[in-house]
Order: sequence, then C-alpha cells, then structure tokens
Amino acid sequence: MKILQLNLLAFGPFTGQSLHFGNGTGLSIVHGANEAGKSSSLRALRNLLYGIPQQTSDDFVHSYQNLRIGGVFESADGTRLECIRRKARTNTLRGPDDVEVCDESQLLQLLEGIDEKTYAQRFGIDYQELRRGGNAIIQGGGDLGEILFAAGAGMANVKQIQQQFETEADALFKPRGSNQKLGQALSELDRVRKEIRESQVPTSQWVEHDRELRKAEDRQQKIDQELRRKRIERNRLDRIGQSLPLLGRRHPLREALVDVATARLLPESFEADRREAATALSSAIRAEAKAGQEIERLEGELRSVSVPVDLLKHRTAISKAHTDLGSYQKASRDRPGLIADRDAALRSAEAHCRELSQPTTLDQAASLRLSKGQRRKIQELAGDCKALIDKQASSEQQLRQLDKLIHQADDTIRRLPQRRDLSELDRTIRQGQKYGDLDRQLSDDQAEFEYLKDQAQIELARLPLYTGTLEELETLPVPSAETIDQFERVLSDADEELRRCRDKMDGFSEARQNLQASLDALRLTGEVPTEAELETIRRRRNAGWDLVLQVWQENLSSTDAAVTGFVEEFDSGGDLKAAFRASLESADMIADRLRREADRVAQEAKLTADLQQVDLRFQTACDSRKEAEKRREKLEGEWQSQWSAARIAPLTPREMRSWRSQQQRLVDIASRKRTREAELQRLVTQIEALRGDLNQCLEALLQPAVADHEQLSRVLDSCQVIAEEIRKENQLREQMEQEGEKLRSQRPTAEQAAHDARERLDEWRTQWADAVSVLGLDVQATPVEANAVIETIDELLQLLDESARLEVRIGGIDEDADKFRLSVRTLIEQVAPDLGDRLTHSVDQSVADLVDRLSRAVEDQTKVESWQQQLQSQRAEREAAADAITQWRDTLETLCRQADCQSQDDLPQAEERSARRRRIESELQGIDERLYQLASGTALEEWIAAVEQFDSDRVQMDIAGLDESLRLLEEEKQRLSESIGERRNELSRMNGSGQAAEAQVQAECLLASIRGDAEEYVRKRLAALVLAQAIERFRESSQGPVLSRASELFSTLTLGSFSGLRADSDDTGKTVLVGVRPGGQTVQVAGMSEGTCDQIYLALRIALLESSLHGRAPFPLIVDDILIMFDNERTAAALKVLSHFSQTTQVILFTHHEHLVDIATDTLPESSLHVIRL
Amino acid sequence: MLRFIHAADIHLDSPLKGLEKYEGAPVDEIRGATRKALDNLVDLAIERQVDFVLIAGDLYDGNWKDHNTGLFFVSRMHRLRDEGIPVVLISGNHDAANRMTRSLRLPDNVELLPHTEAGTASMARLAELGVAIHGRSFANPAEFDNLAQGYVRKKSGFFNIGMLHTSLDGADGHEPYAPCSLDDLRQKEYDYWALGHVHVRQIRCDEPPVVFPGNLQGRHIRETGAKGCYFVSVDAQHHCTLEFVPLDVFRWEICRLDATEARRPESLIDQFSTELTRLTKMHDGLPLGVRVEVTGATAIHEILRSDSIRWLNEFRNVTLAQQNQRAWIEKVRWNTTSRRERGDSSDLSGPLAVLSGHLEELRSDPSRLMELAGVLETLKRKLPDELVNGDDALKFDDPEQLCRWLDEVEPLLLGHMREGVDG
Repeated sequence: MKILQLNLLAFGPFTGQSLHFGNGTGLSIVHGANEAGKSSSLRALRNLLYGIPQQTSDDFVHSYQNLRIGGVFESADGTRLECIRRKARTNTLRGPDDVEVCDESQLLQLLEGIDEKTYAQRFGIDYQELRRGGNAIIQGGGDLGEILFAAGAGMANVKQIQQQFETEADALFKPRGSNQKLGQALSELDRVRKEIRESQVPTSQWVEHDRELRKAEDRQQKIDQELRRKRIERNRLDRIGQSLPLLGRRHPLREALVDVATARLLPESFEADRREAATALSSAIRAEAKAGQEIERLEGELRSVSVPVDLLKHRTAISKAHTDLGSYQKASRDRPGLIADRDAALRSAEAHCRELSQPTTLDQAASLRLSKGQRRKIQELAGDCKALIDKQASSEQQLRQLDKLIHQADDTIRRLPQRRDLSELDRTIRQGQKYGDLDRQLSDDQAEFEYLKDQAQIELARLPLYTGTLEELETLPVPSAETIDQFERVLSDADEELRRCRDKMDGFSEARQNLQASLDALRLTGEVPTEAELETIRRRRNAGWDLVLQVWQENLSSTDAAVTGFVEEFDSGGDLKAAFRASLESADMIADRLRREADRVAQEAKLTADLQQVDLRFQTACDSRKEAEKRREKLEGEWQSQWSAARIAPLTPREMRSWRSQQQRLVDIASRKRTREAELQRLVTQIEALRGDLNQCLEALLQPAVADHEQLSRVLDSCQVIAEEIRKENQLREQMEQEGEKLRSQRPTAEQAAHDARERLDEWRTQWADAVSVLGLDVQATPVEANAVIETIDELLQLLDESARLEVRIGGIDEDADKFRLSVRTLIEQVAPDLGDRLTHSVDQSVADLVDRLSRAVEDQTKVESWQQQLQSQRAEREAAADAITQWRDTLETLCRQADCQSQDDLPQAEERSARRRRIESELQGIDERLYQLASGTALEEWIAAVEQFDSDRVQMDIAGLDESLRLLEEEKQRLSESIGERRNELSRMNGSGQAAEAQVQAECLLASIRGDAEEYVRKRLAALVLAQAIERFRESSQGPVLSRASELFSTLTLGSFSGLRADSDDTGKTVLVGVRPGGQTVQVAGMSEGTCDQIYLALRIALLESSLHGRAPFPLIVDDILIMFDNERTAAALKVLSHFSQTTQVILFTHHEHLVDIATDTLPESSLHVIRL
Repeated sequence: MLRFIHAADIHLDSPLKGLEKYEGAPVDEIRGATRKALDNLVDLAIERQVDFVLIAGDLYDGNWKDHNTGLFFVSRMHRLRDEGIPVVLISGNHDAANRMTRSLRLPDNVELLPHTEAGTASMARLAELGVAIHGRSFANPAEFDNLAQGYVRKKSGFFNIGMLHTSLDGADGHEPYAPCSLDDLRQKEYDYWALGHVHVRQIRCDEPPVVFPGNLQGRHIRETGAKGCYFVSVDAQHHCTLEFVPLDVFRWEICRLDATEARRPESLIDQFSTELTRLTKMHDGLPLGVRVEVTGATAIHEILRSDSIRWLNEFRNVTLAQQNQRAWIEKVRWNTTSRRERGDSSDLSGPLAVLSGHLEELRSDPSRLMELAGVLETLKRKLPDELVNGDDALKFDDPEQLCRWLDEVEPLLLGHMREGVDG
C-alpha cells in the first residue's frame, strides 16, 4: 500500500490543506516548524487509517462533527482508494464526496488486517523508540537475541517484559522462600488444618464419656438409697444407747422416794434463815459484855494524866529558835577556814610583787593596772613583728637567686656553637623524597628488565620456523591475523569441498556396487527377457513368415540360403514349416515371459538405468574433485607466498595463527624490554644528580660528604638526621638567649622590694620601744617577754581582789551570832526561868531542853483527847447489843412453829428430810423428760419396754459398724460425683460446636486461593520461559542475513567509523552483538556511545523491516523526527539509508528541523525526494 | 390430609469449596451454611405443622470426623420432638462411612430404619396417621445391590412411602449405588418414593411420585441454583401435591458473558453488572457464588487475557458496588479467542510471528511440553495433595493442561508486547 495524498480537510489546526506524496515512492519529508501542526498531521494520518478516537483534542478549531481527514491510497496492484474519515460512532468512512458511506473493509484490505497498534509498532518509528532501543542495547549488554527481537517487534523493551514476568512469578512463589504469597498461604493452610484437628471431637471420645457418665449416675443413685437406710438405723441405735443409762438411774430413785414421801416441804431459804438467827443472837450477847469492860478501863486512864498549858502557848517561838540554831552552828564552823584563805591570798600577792622587774609593795600594785588601749597596742605590735622580719629576709634571698640564674644562662650560651642555615639541605631532601622510592623503583625495573630479557630469549628459542634475532623478529613482515583467518576459512572451505567430493564419490561407488549386486542377484535367478529380444525374435518370425509366403508362392526355393539359414536357426534338421512354428512359439514364449515376468523386467530395466546414472554422476564427481584439488593447490601456493617475504615456510593457518600470536607476544616483550631499559637509564641519572646536590649542601654545613656506594634512601635518612641535630642546637641557643633577657628584666623589681622591707622594720622598732616602756621594758624586749609581764600583773591584781572579798564575809558571821544569842535568852526568861542558869554555859543545850519539854506536853494532850472519844463510843455499843438480843430470840421462835418443831434443836433434821424429797422428785422428772424425747413419738412405757431389750455394749458395737459403712459409702459418693462432674463437663464441651467446620471452610478458601495463585504463577513462569525461547529462536532464524544487512547500514550510518556489526560470544557464552572497526578490531556495546547504540538499533530496525517485506506488499514507514540528535554528516548518512529504503517501500519522515530539509536537498537526488511544508 | 417434608443429602458441615477470599467477599454468608439450611428445614416443618419429616440419606460427609456435627443434628431433632414431629431417616453412603451415624443418641421422635434388611418405621404416631414408611439404610459405604427388591409389601389401607438412597439407573457425577429401575419401584405399589443421593432436584415419575429433592445446600459451582426440600400434601385419595421449598442460604450461579461484540473491556464489565443484578433479583437477594465465563472471538481478547488479574478485580469491584455486597466471584473462566485463528500469524510478523509459531510448536510436541512441566516441578512438590491429585487437581503432567496454560500465556505475551508500544 502507498499513501498518495493526505487531505487535512478539517482537523486540528488545519482547514483544507493537502499533503501530496508524489507517486508514493521515494522519501517524503513533511516539515513543519514548531506549532505548525507536525504532530497533528502525524495523528491525522493515523486517525485516517484507524478512525478518530472517542476523546480527541483535535477539535479546537473544528467541532467534533465537522472533523474530516481525507486520503488517497494505492494498493500493490495499482487500485486506488480515495476516502474521507469523519468522527462518529458508526460509518465513519465515506467516499470522496463525503456523502456516500465507504465500506471500512476496503481500507482494511489495504491494511491487510494490520491493526492500529501493530501498525504503529512495525511501521512507525519515533525518537523515543530509538532512544529506548539504544538504551536497551546498552542495558542488555548487547544480547543479540534481545536486540533483534526488540528491533523486529519495534518495541525496544522486551527484556523488561521478560523480567516483569519473572518478578511477578517470584513474588508468588520461590522454592526456598516463605515470604512469597503462595508460601504464606501454604503455611496458613497448615495452621488451619491443625486447628481443624484440634477442634474436632472424635465419635469414640464422645461415646466413651457418655457411657461412663451413665454408669456413674446409676451407681450414685444406689448409694443414695443405701445411705438413707443406714442413717435411719444408726439414729435409732443412738437413741437406744442414750436411753439405757437413764433407765439404770430411774429405778433406785423411785425406791428412795418412798422413804421421804411424808416429809414436810420447807422453803429453799429455811436453813439459811435459821442459821443466821442463831449466829446473830450469840454475837449480840458477846458484844454487850465487852463494851462494859472497856468503859471501866478508860475512866481509870483519864484520871492519871495533867497537861502544862503555858508551854504550849509559846510553841511557835521555840520552833523558830530550834531552826535558827542550825545556821548559827554552821557559821561558827566556817569562820576559821575563811580567815586562812584571806591570809593565803595576801601572801601570794606579795610574791607576785617581788617577781616584777621593779620591786613594788602591795599598796602600789593597784597603779600597775593597764588600760585596754595600752594592752591592745602592745599585742598588735607583737603580732606584726614576725611577718616584717620574714619579709625582709625573703626579699633579700630572691634577689640573690635571680643573680645566680642570670649567670647560668650566660654560661650556657657561651658553650653553644654559632647558628647554621639549613634551608638548602631541607629543600634537597624534600626533592629526593618527592621522587619516591627511587631505590626500589630502580631494583624493580632492573628485575623486570632482566626477566623480560630472559623471557625474550626463552620465547625466541621456543618460536619454531624462525632463526633470526629478536630485533629482526619485530620487523618481520608476517601476514595479518585477518589474512590468516581468511586463509583458514578458504582453505578449510576448500578442504571441506574436497572432502564432500570424496564423500560423494564414495557414495556413488557404494551405490554402484549395491546396484550391481542387485542386478547380479536378479540375473542369477534366470535370464531376464528383454524387449529387445522380443523385438529380434519377432523380426525373425516375420522374416520366416515372408519366407513361407515366398516359398508357398514359389517365388523362392526351399533350399534358398535364407530358408536354410532360417530352418537351421529354429529347427535344425527340420523343414521350414516346423522352423516357422518354432519361431512363432519362441516369439510367443518371449512375449509371454515378458508379460509374466514384467516385474523382473522392469526391475532389471530400472537397475540398469540407475547403474548408468550412477556411473555418470561418479564421473562428474571425479571431475569436481579434480577441480577442487586444483583450487586447493592454488590456495596452498597463495598461502605459501604470503609468508615468503618473512622467509618462513608456513604450516597450516591454524598453526600459523598460534605462531603469529606467539610472535606477537615476543614483539610485545621486546617492546616492553626496550621501554624498561630506557626507564632504568633515566632513574640512574636522576639518583646521581640528587646525590651531587646533597653533597654540596653537606659541605656548606661543614659535614662530611656521603659515600658513593651508599643507597640513596639511606643517604637521605642520614642527611635528615644531620639536619635534625643542627635544628635542635639552633633551637636551644635561641631559647637560652630569651631566658637571660627575661631574668635581667625582673632584677630591678626585686631590689625595690628588699629596700621597702628594711624600712618598714625600722619604723616598727620605734613604736615597740614606746609601747613596752609602760611595762618597764626597753626596746630590746621581745613580744614574749612583754606578754609575761602583763600576765604577772593580771594575776597579782586578781589575788588582791580575792582577799578583800573574804574580809567582808568574816565580819557578817560575827554579827549574826550575837543577834541569835540575845533572842534565846529572852525566850527562856518567859517560858522556863529554871533554865536561865544553864544559858551562860551553852546556848545549844538550852535550846535543846526547851524543845524537849515542848514535845512532851504535846504528847500528853493528844492522849487525853483520844480516851474521851473512846469512852463515848463504847457506851453507844452496849445499848445496841441489848436491842439485838431481844429481836433474834423472836425470829427463832417463829421458825420452830413453821417446821412443826418443839425446839430450836430439832430444826436441822426437818430441814434435811425436806431437801431429800425435793431432790429425788426433780431428778426423776428430768430422766422422764429425756426419755420422752428419745422415744421420739413412741409412748414412754413402750419405749422403755423396747430399750430394755438391749444392752449397752451391743448398741455401741452396732453403731461403730454402721458408722464405718456410712463412711465408705460417703467416700464413694464423693468420688462418683467428681467423676460425674468431669464427664458432664467434657460432654458439655461437645456441644455441637461448628468450630471445626468453620475452620474447614477457611481451609477450603485457602485452597482456592492457593490454586488461583499457583495457576497465576504457572502462567507468569511459562510466559517468561517461552519468551526467552522465542527470543533465541528469532535470533537463530534472522541472525545471518539480517545481521549482514544491518552491518552495512550501520557502517553507512556511522560514516565508516565502524566497518560493521558481528555476532560474538561473551565470557558466559552468550551471543552478543559487537561493532567492528575498519581495522578488524571489535568493540563491545558497553564501550559505545548512546548515539552509536541508537544507530545500531536503527540499522537493525531497517534491516529487519527489509527482510520482513520479502514477498509481501510494502507498507509506508512513518518516521517521526528520529534524527534530532545526529550531527549533519550522520543525518546525511541516515537520510541516504532512508532514501535507499524508500526505493522498496514508501517512507514518510516528519520533522520540524529546517536544517534537515536542507541536508536532504543537498544530499539526495531531486527525483527521489518530496519535501512537503506545512 | 397428610402433610410431610421430604429432604435428603444434608451433608451437614460440608464446606463450601472453591471460594478464594478477597477483601470485601461475603465471608460471613458461607460460614455454617449447611447448618443454617438444616435450621431452615426445621423451621419450615414447625411453621407448616407437618405430620412428619423424611430424610433420605447422607446427613454428613463420610470423611468428616467431628462428633459435634452429629450433636448439632441431634439438637435440631430435639426441636422437632418438642413440637411432636416424627422424623424418619435412612443412612446413605456417606453416613455408612461415618462412625458417628450409629453412635448418636437420637431422640425418641427420630427413627433410623435398619441396615440389615428393609424395614418399616415403627413409631406409634405414624400408625395413628395411617402412614407406613418402608426403607433400608446403607450398611456399607458402597452398596451395589438392588436394595429396592428387598422392600416389604405395601400395607393396605395405609399411605405407603418408600425411602431409598440410590442413583436409580445412574446419574452423572454420582456413584452407581443401590442401582434399580423405575419399574422396580413401581412394582412395590407404594404411594410415594422418597429418594436421596442425586444432588440435582428431579421428579422421576409422577404416578406414584418418585422424587429426588436434591441436596439442601449447594457446596460448589457444580451445584448451581436453588436447593431445598419438597413439601408434600396428600389428599384422601392418596394423591400427592408437591411444592419445592428452597432452604439454602448461599447459592451458586454461572454468569455467561459474550465478549464478541465488546470493543472495550469496560463494556464487558457493564454487561456483567447488568447480568449480576438480574441474577441477584432472580435469587431473591440471596448471597451468590458466581462463576463468570467469558466467551467469544473478540477484539479485546489480548487486553483481557494479558492482565486477567486486573479484570478479575474489576468483576469483584462490581459485586462490591452492589448494594448489599452479597456476591462472591468464585472464578473467572476466560474462554475468549482472538479474532484471528490460532496459529494464523498472518497479521503478525517478525518476532511476534516467531513467538506465536513457537507456542504452536510447543503445543504440538508432547516431549517439549514435558520439558515445560519440569520447570513447574518445584511448585508441584510444594502444593497440597488436593491440588495435585484427584479429579479437580492441577495436572502438571497432562499435555492438555499444559496446552491450556500455553493458550493463556499467548495472549498474555502478545498483549504485553503490544502494550509496550505506547508505554
């Protein structure tokens, strides 16, 4: 199909514009500047072919219903189709009149069923695709299969698609992964299945629990009944056991009751009342008698005593005198001690006076008292003394120390040498170090040079066919590797052809043998009749018939030679008749055999024919072989001549290739050896120069020069050591000079300080002399001495104060003693004049006597008062006792009447009988009540009769037996009820829960998703695999012819920078695409620029398009500005390629680059170029 | 007038199969579906005050080992007992395989007919109603004898019912247990034959009625449509009137879509939406398990098949957009074909033609198919047994299965290749 015309009737920015593409051959360039509608026209072309999409942005000038694109197409057979496309839902294609509906199928037929996407993919190429294709080539490392596949499909990213499938498959499942979707679902399935197993309740388990429960419940019921029966029995026995002792006590009580039945029942309190009355009566009689006696005694006592009243009146004064006596006595005792203390103090004071430097009396001593000011002044001065003296001494010492240091520094400087300049030496050392490790480099180079020299010798000795020197070898004119490859190829082709000829000949001769064998075998089974034989015999028979006729018509004699010959031939000795018949028969016989043995005949004929054929072919093969041998020889000769210049008799190309690579290696070694030698020379020179420089420097520094044989690195090291030493000396000298300077600057300050200290000390001495003069000391006195004098004066004054105080106290004591003695005398004269005499002797005794008399008088007065009170109370008691006696006698008489007794003495017996009757009756009543309770509803007499059947021991035994069996039953019941509880619990857990079933539902859901994901995985995995296989197949099928065509195109596109493209194997054995330089050198895609890769893609794309067009009608190729990144020369080359391609199929190039149009017009012949401007 | 319910194949606690969970799927609706269906049966019996209930075998799945299932059944039978409704059971092949059947303590309103020989239900209430129910339980999981022959003679004056778990003269997808012919049954001159075993509801004979009520709840996509029981009314002349009452709580349906005319995938989705609405209405809003089958030689074949997961999700979205969100997409079967014939690469050329040709070659060469199977071996080893063995398994070694996968791979690859153009 060709596009002759594109009519932009109403579309995008266009109205009624028409693009004419000539007759549809040659390159059409549609040029539009930016915004001129290049993209719109490109879109219009596509929409014309495949309809305007539902949503389009090309309606900004013309509304949807007015959009129109027209076109004129021409099919391969020359028929034309003109139509108009409008935007609508149906019938969008119309005829040129824009009225008549045009059948879409006509257009589809032109398009040969290719849909829009495929069209864009295969017959459209734009810049983006070119870039993607170029990138994919780099990223894929030049994988030939991928590149071809991508370029063939026009989709550029085939690798990405394959990887996407693999990634998607991996996300679903990895054999060893567990994070993939399938792995996770599988482990979830395991978990759910475990849950199912755990929540299922096996039927056997349920049946077991159910049976056990029923058994336990039956047993429990039985035990309950048994327990009830036994408990009733035990209860009855218990009651009988309790009743038995009651009956034992009941009988004697009833007999005792008979004795006391007549006794009068007295009130409970009767006996107590009776005892109280008797006791009270006798005690009243005793009280009356005792009171009488007491009254008599008291009255006697009172009469015997009298009390002194005057003494008692002065009781207070006497008590006071008694108290004061104590104070008086104490003062008398203290007085002598106080006098002694006073005298001692005075003596001590006198001693202190003598101690003072100026002898003083006690009376003068008071004047020695120091004022506070004087005392403080002396203390302050004393405190300053030591500091001032120390200060003066230390400042002197400092000054001396300074002078000593200054001297030392000057001394050191004198001993050091003068400073020396190091800069030159340092610079030279640095330079030496900058060169690096020259020694090692030198020895390395030396070693490598030696190694290369040896290696060259060895390799040279190993190189066959050559006997010259290494240097000659380098210039030896050997053929290039390509030439060797070429010869290997052609020679092996020639060998191959020769071998093929031989094989053919072998085949033919074998075939011939086989055929011959078959023929022989056929013939061995009997002569095969042939058509020729039949023909001969028939001719003979006919001749015989002629003879017969002639003889019969007598034209011929029967003895004619012809006749006899005939007869001889067929029936020797017979006649003509017989001979003719024989000839007839033998003709028939042969005819019959031919018919009968037709197969064998045919077989023989075929075998014979085949044999001839084979012979013929064998001959041809022989000829071919001879020719091939000749060609081979000629080639061999050419091969030999290639090497004649090198004067080498070559072996096979394969061997010579390895020889050549060996020779190349030697050449390489020779060149490296030369380089190394030069390097060595350079190093030696460098080292010597450095050594000279160093020696110069050392000389300048007055150091010995270095030894010639010393290694450079060691020389550098020792130079560095020397430099370091000199640097240290310089530094020390500088340091000492600075130190001396500093010390000298400090000296004036120290001097001033010493002077100040001396002055301050002198001033202090003046003040001190003045202050201590008060103490009678001179300036020489030390502060310690001054302090001692002050202390002595203080102690002296203290002693004088003490003696004055004691004097006062002694006076007071004497005065108090006189006063006391006067008051005692007055008191005695008033109350006891009889004691007056004794007073003169002792005040103490008089006071004691007075006190004694007073205490006796008080005592007597107290006794009299007490006796009078006692007398009064005894009289009252005697009267009360008399009243009580009367009252109790009446009470006793009443009681006797109550107990029906004659006398008071009969009362106790009556009381005892009454009490016995009461006790027995009450006890009997208690027993009967208890029995009545135990009878528990049975009549009392009946119960007693029943109980009397038992004896106590038997009842106890029966009860113990019952208790034991009750205990056992209770225990069993307990066990059963626990077991029942457990079983019920178990069974209630089996409550028809749907948990297991629900888990099963979950498991099914999981299985469904695992299945879905597994299938998805299979699809993705297979897709990746199949795609990889298809890529490989496509490579195999299209590699040869396509690659050689692409190689040409690539060479053109790269302006001969590459001579072509070639398939090659990389390290992994993968077939990759490599570029070939004109010298035969190959370049991996990794080493190519992006632009070059784009050109590879373009070359392959066009080569594949060309190859896909073989035998098919061409289709217009739409090219959208792919050349924007090409320089002018390459653009011209690309245009040429496109132009060449446009000879077979229409090419429409859309561009908005004016320069491209210019280049096209300059480069391409006018006849094959249509420039269309928008 | 006599009224009773005839049900069979309850398959209690049998799980619903083939439903892959996804966000928004009506998970709660399938939980305990068979139990809910049994509850519906009991409710129906009580609501309609039936005289008795017949269950013609297969109460549970044969390989299901949870006694809770039996206990649940018993608890529901107790409900009928409280209402005074007798139940007559026979055990089917599944029950015979399950130990639970004979260990259950059924309440006294439930009678399981004997498995040693054919018998007649002995509950007094049935005699009062004038009904004689004959039948025989399966003794073994597989009964290949004609059990019907041993059934007792009809009891005259009574309404005679025969209960039998059978496939009659054979039914698709069902084991040929207790085989017998319709004539065998007619000869007994019973008034009603209550059959079980075949899960598809069918009335095999009108006079007397020979009835398969089908199972109570569909469990997978091969059990489509409404499932339930027959409610039977008998008049004085022993003439039966049958009414089918659906009892299921989740229903299975196949939704067939023809993509032949579809120009865009979206129109297919719209088509599905319309169809789903129709199905939902048809099944009274019950939750549905829907299998979508897309057929037709269509222009969008490659678009659909190159990203089938995406379109599956689109279908799911349609169900989620439904008001009650009660449909579950079980699976989408893509049976579309390209407009062009398989192997015809006329509109393909270059690599795509090679790819297509290569696939065609793989499909026709069993030994190369097996090579492909080798790649899938690691996956196969990891998959659970159900997915590798059995009727419904993924058959990795089956050339047909592998071909089907390749059929799916082709549009996937071509679709991606062609997508690559604009991307």
